[in-house]
Amino acid sequence: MKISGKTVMGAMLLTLLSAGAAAAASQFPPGWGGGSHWPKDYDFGAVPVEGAHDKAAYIRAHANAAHNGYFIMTQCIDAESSRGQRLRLSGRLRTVSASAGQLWMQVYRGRFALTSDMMYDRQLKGSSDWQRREIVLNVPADSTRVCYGFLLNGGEGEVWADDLVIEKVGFTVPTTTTFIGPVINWGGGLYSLSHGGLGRMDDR
Amino acid sequence: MMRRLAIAALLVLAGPAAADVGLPRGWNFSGISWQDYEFGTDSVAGASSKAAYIKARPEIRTDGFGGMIQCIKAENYLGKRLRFSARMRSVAASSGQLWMRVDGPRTEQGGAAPVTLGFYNMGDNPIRGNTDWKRYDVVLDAPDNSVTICYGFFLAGGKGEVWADNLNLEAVGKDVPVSRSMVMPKGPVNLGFDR
Repeated sequence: MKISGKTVMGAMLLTLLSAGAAAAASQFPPGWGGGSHWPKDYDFGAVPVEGAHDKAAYIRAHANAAHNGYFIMTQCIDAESSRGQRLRLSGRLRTVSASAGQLWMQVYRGRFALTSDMMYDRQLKGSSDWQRREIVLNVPADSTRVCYGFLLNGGEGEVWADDLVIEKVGFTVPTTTTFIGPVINWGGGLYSLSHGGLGRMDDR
Repeated sequence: MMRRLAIAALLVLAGPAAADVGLPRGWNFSGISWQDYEFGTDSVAGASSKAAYIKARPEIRTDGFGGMIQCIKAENYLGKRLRFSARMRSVAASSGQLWMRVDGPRTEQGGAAPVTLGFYNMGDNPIRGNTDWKRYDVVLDAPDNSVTICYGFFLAGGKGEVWADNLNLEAVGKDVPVSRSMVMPKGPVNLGFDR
């Protein structure tokens, strides 16, 4: 995104405003939802930050957050137009003293994950500058939904995400699936989308 | 009155644990956070005899929901449009919701995964705050390959209480509209988080 001087000034002002707002009440960026077992342990939102194009989304754990917890940011789309194809989710992540920052994507049939990559083997730990990560999954012919996003796993520090891209790729691009059988439904299992668009995902 | 439920084949999932937590006969609990909620039946103004309640406990530990669920075989309802209705009221409720789901056969590949053929849970329009008794409906089709129908009500968000009475499951005409939540987006939005 091209940034004019005016936009930068606007962005700086937004930073100040957003920083204040974030402390008061976390808000999901438009089109996004998510949650946690311990939602009060986290702040989240989207604000301008150095190295981001305009705004980036963040999840930040409070100092006393449960270490076996996580906070996930989620978006789901209808799988219909992607069935039989291979999708790549890519995005840039950065972390600050984080237990683990991860991109994630799962493909579902109804309530059940058909394939999954939570990026456990490519986590960003501690503090790291912006890094590109990607996930590649097949979308089986009977899929109903594709969900993706990023998460802070382990309740420490913060993770930032920007410039996510979902695109179809050729079958020469290897998948990163870690699916070996029934898996936990992260995209939803337990978490409603806060913007209310989809209702509770665990039942759908 | 729960007993009035017009149910042909009851799959009683409720074991002793269900009775232990105060659930009415024939009902089981649903939701990962059921320990955070209190279940039971009681006489209350406006109810016919007893009504069922779900109350959030004061010390909520999780962000889940607690609910009452009942599942039946679909065989007597194949090809029909079903309406699950109840009268409900709420007291300082975070989110009270009536719901129903129609499950089909298990997938060949996944093994353990039945197809969801229909679902609605008032997720787009939950009961919040203090509300007097009012009737709510969930309407779904049960196609010919339906296997199981589950329904019930739950309290999400960990605050207040929700009551239900006169639950009823019945076949209705095709002129009754099917309940739908908002449609899932066809494609990604705001992936750059700039909006």
